[in-house]
Amino acid sequence: MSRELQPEALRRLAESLSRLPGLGRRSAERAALALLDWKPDELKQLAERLASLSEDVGNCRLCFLPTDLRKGELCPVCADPRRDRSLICVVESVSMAVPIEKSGYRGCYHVLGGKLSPLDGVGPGQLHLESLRQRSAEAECREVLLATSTDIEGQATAAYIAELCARPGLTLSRLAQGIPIGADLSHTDSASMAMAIARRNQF
Amino acid sequence: MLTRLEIRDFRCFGEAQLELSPGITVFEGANGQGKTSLLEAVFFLGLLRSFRTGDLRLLKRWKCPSFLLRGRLDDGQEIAVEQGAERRLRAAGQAVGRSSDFVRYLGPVALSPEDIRLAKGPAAERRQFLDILGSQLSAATLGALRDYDKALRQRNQLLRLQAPDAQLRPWEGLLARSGAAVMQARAAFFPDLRAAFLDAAAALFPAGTPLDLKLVPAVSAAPGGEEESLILALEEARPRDRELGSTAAGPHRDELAILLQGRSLSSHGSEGQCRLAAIALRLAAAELLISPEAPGPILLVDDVTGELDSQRRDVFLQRLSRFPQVFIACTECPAILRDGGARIVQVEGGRLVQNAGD
Repeated sequence: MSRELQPEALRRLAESLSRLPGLGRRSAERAALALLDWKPDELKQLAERLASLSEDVGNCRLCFLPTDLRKGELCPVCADPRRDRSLICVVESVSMAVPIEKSGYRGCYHVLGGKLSPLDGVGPGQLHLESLRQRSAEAECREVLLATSTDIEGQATAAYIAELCARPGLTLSRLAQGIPIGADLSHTDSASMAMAIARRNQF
Repeated sequence: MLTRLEIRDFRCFGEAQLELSPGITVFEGANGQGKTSLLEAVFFLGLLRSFRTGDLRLLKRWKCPSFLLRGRLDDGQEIAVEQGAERRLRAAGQAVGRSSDFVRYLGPVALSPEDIRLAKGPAAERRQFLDILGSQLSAATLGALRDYDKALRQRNQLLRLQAPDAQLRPWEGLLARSGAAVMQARAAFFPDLRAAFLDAAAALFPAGTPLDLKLVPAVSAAPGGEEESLILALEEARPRDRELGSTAAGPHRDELAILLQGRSLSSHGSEGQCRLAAIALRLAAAELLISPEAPGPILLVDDVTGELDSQRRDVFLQRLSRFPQVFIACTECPAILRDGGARIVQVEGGRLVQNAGD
């Protein structure tokens, strides 16, 4: 969009919006323009909701899932007595916990806040690893499920955690890899197929 | 094999379509008319890279946001790549997410005047040759090479940061696993590559020239013991690697040596011998791709014949007829090809003119 059509305030808003996942510069500009059409009280409500984010929402003291700080320092998962505390599923980010939760998983989580990548300046100190080591060292923890991503950084992160948390009596597991359910086999990529064949199950 | 090629906004081409046939096709035209760009288009459609430049921005037509290449294969499937700020791949009517799955369709091998680097240049040139061939022969090898390269850069970064061993170990484990796959793949196809190289060299060099090809692994290992050997080598090299800030041991330091009388051709061979050896190596790679599991090959020959005397040139051109599909760019079609029934396409300022009777 040309500068003439874009007052300073609108441009700054678009700049902020463009940092959101899935929004490029163009779609951020469109979103900012769309907000121009909102009524003043609607905008005010949006602004209040944004402002309250940092005050009302924080990370769970145990697992670092986002949680409503007004209801205590534990997230709903960690506070739920019916969840299986012997099983900790390690994920890189909250968005990766969402499909796991939807699958009916009943254990607990631990959100790392990223994955190891020295080239991007991410070492163990930048991730929630020490707290994971402490949690996994507690007697009630029997299994750590390493659900980091399948790329090379995710694999390195899993390997680092496996060495960090290893102790007798603790099972370290990794998500299985292979073919998605319902997938058309003729369009399966070769790497997934190779893994599915290497780790095939007895019928 | 390609039966049709469509080009949009690539190099000097605005829009061009060309029906293609098996056997030898000659792109004929004066310099700067787009002959080599046609070969480059086929190469890019096959491997998503250029044999002329590493800078993708040079490939699209001036002031165009993107270029498009579409090819029809002999089984009727279509593959297409659109390259702008982002890249979109399609095959058989479906979007293709991974480039490693896309590069399995064509199997192009390019011979160009710059190939002398293969014989004359540093070992890295020949390793890249090995890696591209390995990737064309197996998608799993391509995946292993990518993992290896990434893990290597991450480990080197940790070495420079003087990070403790506990941080190095996960990357070393991944390096050893992917590196072992790379070593095994190279060892598996090398005997065939050597045989095909010696065969091509015997046809191109004067009789009795004592040439040989040797694969010299940087880390020696018993077959099946590659991963373990790499782990040990990486661990052992840690102190020295820390000083240098880079990884000394591993298949990224393997050497593919071209030998003349047991000595390195790159330092002891003449310019002419190096050019011939490079041609023999490319022909050998193409030979390996003639296999039911591998695609193609499509041979792309960019005016390398200028460096051969007339007798060797004819031997070389005759040898091309054993490949299913060959595209040759030259200023004037050699008589032996014209007489042999090669198809000729005139290229003029980014336009294509097929000869009457085609």
